[in-house]
Amino acid sequence: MPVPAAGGAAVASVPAVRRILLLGNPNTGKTTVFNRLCGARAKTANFPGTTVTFRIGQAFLGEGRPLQVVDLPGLYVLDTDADEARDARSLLLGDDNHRRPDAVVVLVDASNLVRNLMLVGELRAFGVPVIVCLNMTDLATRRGVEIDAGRLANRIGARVVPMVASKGIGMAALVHELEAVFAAGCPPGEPSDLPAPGASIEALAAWADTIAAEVVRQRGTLDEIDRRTDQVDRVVTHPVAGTAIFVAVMGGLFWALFELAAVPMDLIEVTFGTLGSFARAWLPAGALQDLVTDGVIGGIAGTVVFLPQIMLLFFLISLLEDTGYLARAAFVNDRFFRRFGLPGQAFVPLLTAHACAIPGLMSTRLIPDKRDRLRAILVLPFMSCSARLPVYVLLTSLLFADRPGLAGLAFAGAYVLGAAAAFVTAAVFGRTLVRGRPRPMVLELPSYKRPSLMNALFTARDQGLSFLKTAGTIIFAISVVMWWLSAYPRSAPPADVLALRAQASAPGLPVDEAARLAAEADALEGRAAQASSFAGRLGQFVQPVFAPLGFDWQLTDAILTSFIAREVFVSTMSVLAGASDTADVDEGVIQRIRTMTREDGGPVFTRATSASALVFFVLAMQCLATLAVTRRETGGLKYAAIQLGYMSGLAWAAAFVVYQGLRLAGIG
Amino acid sequence: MLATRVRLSDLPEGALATFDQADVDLPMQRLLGSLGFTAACQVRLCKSGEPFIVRVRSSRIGLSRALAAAIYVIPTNGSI
Repeated sequence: MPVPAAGGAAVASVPAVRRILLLGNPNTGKTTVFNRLCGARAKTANFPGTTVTFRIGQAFLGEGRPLQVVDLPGLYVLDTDADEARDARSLLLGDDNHRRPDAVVVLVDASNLVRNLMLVGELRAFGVPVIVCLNMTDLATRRGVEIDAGRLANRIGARVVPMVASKGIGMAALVHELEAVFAAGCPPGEPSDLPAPGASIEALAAWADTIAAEVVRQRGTLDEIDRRTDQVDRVVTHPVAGTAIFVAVMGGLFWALFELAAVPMDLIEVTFGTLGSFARAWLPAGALQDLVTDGVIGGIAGTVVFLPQIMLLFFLISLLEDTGYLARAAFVNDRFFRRFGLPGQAFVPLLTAHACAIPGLMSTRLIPDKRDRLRAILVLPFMSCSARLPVYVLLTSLLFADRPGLAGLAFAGAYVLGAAAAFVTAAVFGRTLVRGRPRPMVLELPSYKRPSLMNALFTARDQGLSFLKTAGTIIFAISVVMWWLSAYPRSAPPADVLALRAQASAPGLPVDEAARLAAEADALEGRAAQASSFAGRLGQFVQPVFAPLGFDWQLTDAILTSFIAREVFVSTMSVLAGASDTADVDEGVIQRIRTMTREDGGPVFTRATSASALVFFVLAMQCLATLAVTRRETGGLKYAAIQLGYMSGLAWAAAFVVYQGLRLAGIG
Repeated sequence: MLATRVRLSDLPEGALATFDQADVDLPMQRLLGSLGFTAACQVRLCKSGEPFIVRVRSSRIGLSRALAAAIYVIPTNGSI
């Protein structure tokens, strides 16, 4: 670790906009302070070349002078090989073209002073003015902890601000101290016993112990005070009760995810549908109109529609995290996950993947061990994302036409199959491709507390924007390309279409009959256009590969186009069935798809074909955007290619077994 | 002193001890150190089983059984 000279000199030249860093151990209220300082004037960014994210926002000092605030991920010590610590050191030293901060604000949990002071001790060696926010003083008081803030300030040679950030207490004092630091630098008279630059953890702990002994007064014993926490922990981490609580919490979360997000998702679909209609009405018919309505508007709609679920999910996860429950839940899951080579921390990414794999992949960053994280990344897309939902609805309806109970079971089974595939594959990878057992879990268990609505709202907003930025651009680009493949080359209408149109325009024909014939002509033309498009031709070309799964060229074509987004499968099948181009799975569409025929006149969807297609959709990697994010998160093409290969291979093999097995059993 | 040390996983619930050493790889040793497990610091076993929950100084730390079995402590009396 590069070690700077000790000392807290004032900044020589005065920059136009002051910059501060927010640092602190995890769960010390850094995010709350950042949100209180910056509100909505913030964005999330990445350190160049790494997956470490930080938030950067704008606050205001007195008289409206702007202040740039950089919120770094929580860390315990700076002197480690962890990416977060390396990037924090780089910022503190002004390396890699980073602008050095004018001050560092360290959030310290007042009820846990010693461990938090170790980071302060390390920071004092970087020569940047430090302000210590003694946060959660209310919790500390409840734990019988009294801290002499004035004495603490003298002993560490830094300004100290007692605060309860969740209630806004101490925020004005923090701004006041920042002004004072910018005006005068660190208080004069540096303590003589500050840890030496590069001090060991043992030395930092000894220094922090000494200071705590001088400034902290403990009323009562922690044994008595923490008894209630002990009791709650015993229940929520219990093998049976803890698991039941976890299942109940996740059940509630999933209910909220699918019920509450449905309304805004429908609204988004209707809005973009209306926009598409406007564009179709205003633009001249032709390539530009098709590009705007189907490519651009369709592509944006396909991305934005997931926003409500993603934002709601992160909102709820943030609330759960704030309560202190998530750390306990990680241990509950660790018992089960460990058997399959995944750490307990993987449960949040796997859960998130049920909305969309992309934010799930990004949230694997909270898994500390690189090999554990890689295993999680590789298996995460098996979890059934929202894009698979309309496909599951269609295929289970085709599978069990008049038996909704069985269709419901098949629907739930698809989710279970995806999760089972993820765990089994993780176990296989743990013995082959990414060898090793998951690192034994150790986690700080934060105090139980009331969650912050403000933090949850800002987290949801940040994650939503991050999704739009990272996933949206990829999904949008892929959508336009896949639209082009599905729409071109243009072909002349077939003779039977022309004949139908001629019949429809014949004089004296009743209006209803003319409309019916015109609609039939449109449907036939759509089907012919799809068949002659690049995607359609490709479907016919690769159909022999899918023939053992029972797929004809139409089903193969729909699977290829579903690389735009999985739910596009429904609209492609709808077009091929001669219905309108719709992604809605209503009874009319299902009926038309059910009666589709192959070239030989047999049905496209037998029970065996429907089951085989359902299994294929559960297991296949049909999301180029996910592959692009896997490539980014793993730092190369290798693991994205592996992901595509084994998921597609497994999907093909499983669908083959299902199709051939059902046929052998006489279920055609 | 070494003769009296025991595995953290062998402590009875509620017992107090001082941290002696952890038989784990270097990155894990550093992580434990950053969480407060430093030489002779006091620990209290709040809960045994999976996970083990200990209080180190004022922090509450959850540990998997395998890790608790790799940490050696010296039992003491009193409360913190």
